[in-house]
Amino acid sequence: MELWSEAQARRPLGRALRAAKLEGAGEALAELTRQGDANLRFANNGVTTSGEMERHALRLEVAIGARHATLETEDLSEEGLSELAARAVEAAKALPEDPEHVPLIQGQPRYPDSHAAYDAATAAADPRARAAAAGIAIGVAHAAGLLAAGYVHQFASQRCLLGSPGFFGSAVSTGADFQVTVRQPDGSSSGWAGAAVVRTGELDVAALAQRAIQKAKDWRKPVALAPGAYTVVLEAQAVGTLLGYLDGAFDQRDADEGRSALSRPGGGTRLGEQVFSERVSLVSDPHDTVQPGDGWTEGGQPTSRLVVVDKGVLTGLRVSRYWAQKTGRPPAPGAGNLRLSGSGPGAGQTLDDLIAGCERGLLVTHVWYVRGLNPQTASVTGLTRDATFLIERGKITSPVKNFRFNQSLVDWLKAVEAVGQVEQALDGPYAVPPLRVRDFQMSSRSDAV
Amino acid sequence: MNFSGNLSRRAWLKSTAILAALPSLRALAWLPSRAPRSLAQRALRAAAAGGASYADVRFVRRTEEDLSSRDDHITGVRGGVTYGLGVRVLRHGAFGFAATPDVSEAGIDRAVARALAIAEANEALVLAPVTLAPEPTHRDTWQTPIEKDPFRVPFARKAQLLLEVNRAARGASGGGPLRAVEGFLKGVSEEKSFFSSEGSELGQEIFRVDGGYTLSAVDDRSGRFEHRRFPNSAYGAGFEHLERIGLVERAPELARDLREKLAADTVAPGPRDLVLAADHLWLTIHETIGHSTELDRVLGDEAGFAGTSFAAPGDLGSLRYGGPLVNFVADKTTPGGLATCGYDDDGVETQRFDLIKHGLLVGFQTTRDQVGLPGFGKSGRSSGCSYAESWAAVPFQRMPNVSLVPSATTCSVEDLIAGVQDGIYVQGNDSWSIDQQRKNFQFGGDFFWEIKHGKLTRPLRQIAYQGNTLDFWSKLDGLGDASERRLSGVFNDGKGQPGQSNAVSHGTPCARFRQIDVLDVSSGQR
Repeated sequence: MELWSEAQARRPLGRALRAAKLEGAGEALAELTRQGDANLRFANNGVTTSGEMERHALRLEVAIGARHATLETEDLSEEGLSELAARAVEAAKALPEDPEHVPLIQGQPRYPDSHAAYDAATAAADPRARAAAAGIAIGVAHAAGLLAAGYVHQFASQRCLLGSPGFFGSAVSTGADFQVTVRQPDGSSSGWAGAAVVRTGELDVAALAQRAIQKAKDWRKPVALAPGAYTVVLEAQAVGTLLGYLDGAFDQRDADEGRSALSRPGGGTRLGEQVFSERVSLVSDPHDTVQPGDGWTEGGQPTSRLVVVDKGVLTGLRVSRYWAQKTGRPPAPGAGNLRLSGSGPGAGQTLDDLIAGCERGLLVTHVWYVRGLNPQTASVTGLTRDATFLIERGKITSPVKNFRFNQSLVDWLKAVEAVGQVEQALDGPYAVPPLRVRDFQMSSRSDAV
Repeated sequence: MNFSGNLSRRAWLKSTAILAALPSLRALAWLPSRAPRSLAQRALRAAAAGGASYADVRFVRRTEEDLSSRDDHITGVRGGVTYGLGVRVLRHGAFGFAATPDVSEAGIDRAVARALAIAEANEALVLAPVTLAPEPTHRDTWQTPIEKDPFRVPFARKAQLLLEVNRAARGASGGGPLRAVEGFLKGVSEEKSFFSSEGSELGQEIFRVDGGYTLSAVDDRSGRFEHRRFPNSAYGAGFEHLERIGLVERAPELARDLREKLAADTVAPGPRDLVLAADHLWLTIHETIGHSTELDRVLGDEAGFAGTSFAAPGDLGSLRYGGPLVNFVADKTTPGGLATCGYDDDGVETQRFDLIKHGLLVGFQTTRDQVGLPGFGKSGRSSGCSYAESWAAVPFQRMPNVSLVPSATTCSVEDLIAGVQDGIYVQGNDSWSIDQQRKNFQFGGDFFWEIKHGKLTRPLRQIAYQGNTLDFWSKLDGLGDASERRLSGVFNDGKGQPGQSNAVSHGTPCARFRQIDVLDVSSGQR
């Protein structure tokens, strides 16, 4: 996908704002998103589906006093944008006033620079390169007498923002990811590996395929262990999936209203309390180099760094512009991302270090179908998948059958023993490390392979 | 009926009897211009010139509007329109696909060239060249029967409905622990025009609506909080459906339920008899039956993400899911079904077919490129289960409406409860999860009643049940009749990479299952 210049982007944005004003909008904000996406899927050692998609959309928020509406279109013509504005203003006029509506920001803020999150080579999609990447994984799986299934994906994105008070913002990003599941032809074992990066060139497809192959080979004839509480070493991608189900709890309003695991019984929040292990910190930062954050949020508000948890202490919750106004706090939107990192002795260990430090536990390489269970405890259910192993005296000793777990995520981060090195999560806007955690609650066994 | 002319929505609707069912045409003047037929023909010619043995072009305009509320105010109107085209080519046995919002000659030329380049790049990775099951050529139109176009209902009317829900819930709660009333109304339309190199020309307009709300309550002393939700009501229909489901009328009852739920006990873990309400069981059907009978999973094509199935290609006619009460049909023609349409995204006419009959697996869900594989039967024809969520998405095998056939013998939910000594009646949905082979599952509910000696005794809270699909369905011993049947569904059944959402419904009566493991999930530590 070729990037548009600021002048090109301003054209439809300006048209949309002018059309909104003509229709009677008091304030308007237009955001243009352009995305190029290319992918290839394979299974059973052959290609299945493959495509390239270009998309663009212009989202228009209009407000007349405290009445507002937001609609979007892909038709960037003068006529298309006029019709979009007319429909949005019609909706805003028809609705009652929203007491939670907050006007747009004023002036030109300094939005975070996003260029470090963009790579021109990744934006230039080439179907032959994707086929070659899949071919590497298929080739090594075939040579090992195994079946590979997976996904090669890359994207480029450009977002531009123009508000009727005059502010303008621009952000670009790219990403590439590769995932592979390798199975025995008789379906008796499987292994998975995957990674996401900003730059395609940073993906080591061959290494990922070899990891998945090794897991599939090692996970033959898994033994059935009893459900119960286990120390677990979670690979980074499993941590990323779980973090996605805790992220929503870091909201100031929900906590203030008593509707969050971070509410204090009897009123108030747990801000200032040691809620997690002192080994754990959580930070949202637009300049995160592993998982870049967003540049702006609602109403054109620029994002900024937010330390959510510092060495286990809850230090900051996300505060929306409305909740900030109502409660007399400054807005604290964060940047839409989160980095879970370690502190203190033992932080930044490798996965092998985490295993070596485990007296008895399980290595969980991949989790699946995680769903919220009880928001009161931020608990989830889910399953281990694609190769789970028993660790004894610091070594992997046996493949084990998969488990279903039912686990409070607050308790999960309380029980962290060791933290590894962060990588970009495939599942959500996170930078996450592998973790070793005590007392992970395995509820029942799954025979699934 | 014949499809005629270019793809002007008005033109093809006017040519159909369907128009008579509509009180008026939707105000579409603000939408982008139509997809000219000539563009499709240009694409098909270019694909053939580039060596494609088959090609199709889909123009899709998807319109969506959501209204959301919190308590006494509307928090937003969101939505819009997305319009573009996707070109799929089959060249030397490999598919290539490209999509663009640039609906012009230059845009379509570029898309065809990209699709051909992708097919060419993928040739080296083809194990068995793709062939397509035969399908007659169709020239036709189809539209969801609706009475009220959801996009023509005034915004003020929609807002009024949500604000009335809040008043009704607040009135019944009497200022108690009710903390928030969060509601939504949603309308979606998909206008699709499909052209294939085999000569099929299809125009379809599919409408779907949904509406509901969540009531939240907090006990300030203990810090305990709970929710009660309006039952799933997504439907293939117009706005009239949302006016008939009792959104306002049921709010007082749900508010009272919530107050009782907040004070309720949970359960001692262990096996219990379960009576599952129709507004709960549909999701269990979706996960255990719907997904396990998808042929792409069975074949391993989804092994990299969504998973496989415990069912194997050779299991047709021999794998037993349960006893004679266990009968499931797949049906993309079910009135009101979210997956209901006239033709799938391979251009195959939609059908009704058996998946499980008298407890035995007899069918799989199929698409044209799976020709010759189990599930095709003697006809050799696809069962019409191809779907792409938008013009920008690759079509692949997606779930049709999958429904449990009600009992032919008269049986009510009260009859099922009367047959339980010690059990739980489960209504509505909460957390759900199932493993990647569709074996081990865990489902929560929105509201629970203890059953003792054939009677509902007291509400319970924070319960889930676990099981294994085949064992679970073998424990079905009571089934409601057709008067107990309810159709529920989701807009966002996820599968594929990049992830695609499929809208799908499941019809079911209430049912009774013996000795299923239940858990207390109040602490999240079981």
